[in-house]
Amino acid sequence: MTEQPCYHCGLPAPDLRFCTVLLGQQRVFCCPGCLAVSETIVSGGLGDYYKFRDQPATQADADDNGYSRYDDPRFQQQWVVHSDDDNYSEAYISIGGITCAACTWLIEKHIGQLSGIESVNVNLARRRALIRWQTDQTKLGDIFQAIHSIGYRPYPWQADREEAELEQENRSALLRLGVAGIGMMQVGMYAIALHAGALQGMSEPLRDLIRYSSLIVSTLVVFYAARPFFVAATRSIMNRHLGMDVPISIAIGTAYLASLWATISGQGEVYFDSVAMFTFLLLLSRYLEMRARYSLSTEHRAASQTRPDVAWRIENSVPVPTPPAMLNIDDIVMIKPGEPIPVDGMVMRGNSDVSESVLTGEHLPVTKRTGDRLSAGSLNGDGTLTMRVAATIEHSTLSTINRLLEHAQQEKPRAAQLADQLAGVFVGTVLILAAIVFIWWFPQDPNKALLIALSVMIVSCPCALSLATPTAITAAMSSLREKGLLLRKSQIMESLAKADLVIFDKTGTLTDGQLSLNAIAHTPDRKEQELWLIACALELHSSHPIASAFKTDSPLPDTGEVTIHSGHGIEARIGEQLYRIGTQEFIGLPAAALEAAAGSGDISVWLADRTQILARFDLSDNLRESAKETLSLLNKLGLSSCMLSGDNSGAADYVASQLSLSDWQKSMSAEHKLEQLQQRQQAGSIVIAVGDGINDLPLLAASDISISVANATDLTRHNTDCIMVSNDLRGLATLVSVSRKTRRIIRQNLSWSLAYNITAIPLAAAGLVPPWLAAIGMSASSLVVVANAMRLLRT
Amino acid sequence: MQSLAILIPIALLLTAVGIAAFMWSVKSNQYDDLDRNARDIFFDDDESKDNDK
Repeated sequence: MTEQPCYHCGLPAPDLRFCTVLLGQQRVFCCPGCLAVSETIVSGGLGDYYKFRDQPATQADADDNGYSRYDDPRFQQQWVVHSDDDNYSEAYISIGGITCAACTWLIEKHIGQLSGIESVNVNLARRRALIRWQTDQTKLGDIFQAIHSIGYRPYPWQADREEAELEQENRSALLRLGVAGIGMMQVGMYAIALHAGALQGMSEPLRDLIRYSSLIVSTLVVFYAARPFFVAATRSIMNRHLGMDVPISIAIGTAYLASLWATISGQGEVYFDSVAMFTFLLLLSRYLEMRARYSLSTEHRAASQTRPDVAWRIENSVPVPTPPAMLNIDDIVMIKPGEPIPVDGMVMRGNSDVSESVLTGEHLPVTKRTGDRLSAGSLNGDGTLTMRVAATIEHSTLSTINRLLEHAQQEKPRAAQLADQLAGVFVGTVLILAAIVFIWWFPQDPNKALLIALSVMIVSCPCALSLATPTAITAAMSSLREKGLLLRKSQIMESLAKADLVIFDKTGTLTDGQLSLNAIAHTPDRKEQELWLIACALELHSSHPIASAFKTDSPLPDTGEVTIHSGHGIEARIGEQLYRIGTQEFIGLPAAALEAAAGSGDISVWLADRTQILARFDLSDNLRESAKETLSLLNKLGLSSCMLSGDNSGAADYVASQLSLSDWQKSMSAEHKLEQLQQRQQAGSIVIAVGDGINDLPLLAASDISISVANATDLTRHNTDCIMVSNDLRGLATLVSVSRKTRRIIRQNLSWSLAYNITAIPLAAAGLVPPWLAAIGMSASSLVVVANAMRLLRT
Repeated sequence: MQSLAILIPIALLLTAVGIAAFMWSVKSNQYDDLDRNARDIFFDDDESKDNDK
């Protein structure tokens, strides 16, 4: 029988252990979690979900999350709104795991079935639900449990500043876009009447009426919708550099003022339609770009909530659930196994392995003992810790992160603002040209001189020129976004197309960062399989990342008297024998025989009984499936690849040989990596750096284009130019080929608009272009550019 | 042609109404979730949802 994917989440379901009959058919599941969730959904009469969804769900987990803690009023006081008079409460709940519109329907229906629920409203874009319920009929914890039972992960929603700003930005951009759009249509209609009137003859009062109407509408467009351009242009002039906003503002400003003057004086032509259309198109391209960024950040936020929602503050030696935001310095907090650290602090009692991968990108946890510092956002392992709070939530680790951020940004290289510089040169030239034209015509006819100078500026209006790049880039970005590649900065397209070298980090980039068994070396008197099962049985008790490599489907021997030595190993009894598994120091026995067999992994785990060492397990990182193919695709595109690994173990050799890479180095510190990069850059290479962890940040920051892979840490993602959402490295090749195509289209667009300007400007300077023709030419050239850019959407 | 003298101001007024309506709809969160409503039509609505709205 062929392997079927899990009916709920679409992951492979390796055996038929979890299956049941649902909706009249036999369904297979990958895990008991998915099975339970699916049964809940179908038995609630919500099977339609499976019919209409367009994305599989995320894998469910079967754990009980102790949601009853949310019933504690102290814990609710920050984010639940009670209305005392009619006994209702209202709360926003962030929901992780929402993948498509069917999810929102499912959640609304399922929660709506609970008693005492007044209303449920799920927002797909924000991954957030607004729930209103009767407090005497339903408890908040039950609502959380109900959301959890259909496979989603609920969290109390807390507005943070970034999110609020994004919402505000999104809203005002939409308002401006709408005003510009409505204005554009209205003014466009008037423009048709005016053009028709110019050909057929139109009485002057009527013409003026239409012109004044256009003026009113476009005044709104210019002063409200186009305001961001003027603000940005003013700022860039203050900073003494001519950015793209300057020509845009000049174009909008000149065309508007010229039309205003024509309307009031009754002479000359009006260009209100061009003003409105130009504003609308520019706002549209910026809005689409912003939306891509926005949805990225909310998706990411909901998917990786590392912030704990509850901290256990010790009050009169009893742990009390408290929102982390209410913790003060010197409070005593207990951290249970598996929970995230809420704020920065110092360990007072206990020891435990703490994973700081969110901050450092290091996959293996660090052992924390009394007196060690704990950072907010890191994840506690097996032990229970008691810590004294050292910083409130606003000051925890954030300051460190900001410091790192600034540092990383300082090293940004040159190329970034090329497009802006081009615009600056162009604007300068046009302004000088207009001045020359004015001076040339002034002695001959002072009245005409101003008109001609204006028409030079209008005809040369850099509309097409300033639309050339952003429209192409917007189209490319949205096409890339569909493929799971998110560009954070649009300016990198140009250097991407020119790149000729890709530098990869090893761990977590070329490999997937998950440890797996590479080899077993064992004493000749025991069977390999038997030792492996013993090891698996022992590691079952640990939540350390290393333990995840010890997985088997075979039945495991029973263990007793388990002792976990945090950071060292595990001790347990199987049958009559006491076994220990862990580091070599923990085992403390000579390993002469096994030492000889050369290790081939990143990490070795040792298994021993009381008297002798039985086996050594070599673990290493898995190579990503797509890695090899990616390198050959990049090679075809003319890019060479290089691997710089921080490890000094044999693992780097192994990866390099698997990928047949010739250009690679190991034992590289962050500084060495940076040095290597700079050498290559000095040799003339344009370098793409691909990485995942904080230790790669200097390298990423100094490279020409930085890319973070799917499992990268937050800080890394925030500091790279491009984020890969899928685990498929082949996206890199797509990225390069799309950027090359984009560059081609930008060049076509630029040459078209330059050709248009070069023919039109001399004609206008000679006073030969009737202004209505200039206006039509201006709009037509912009449309050509936009249509050309749209071709990128189909790549 | 004289009718235009009345129709154009009326058109202007309608534009103003249109913009005001648009602003109201944005401010009352109707554009917050553009991905979802397109798909709501597929799902059967029952009485509980009708009551909510």
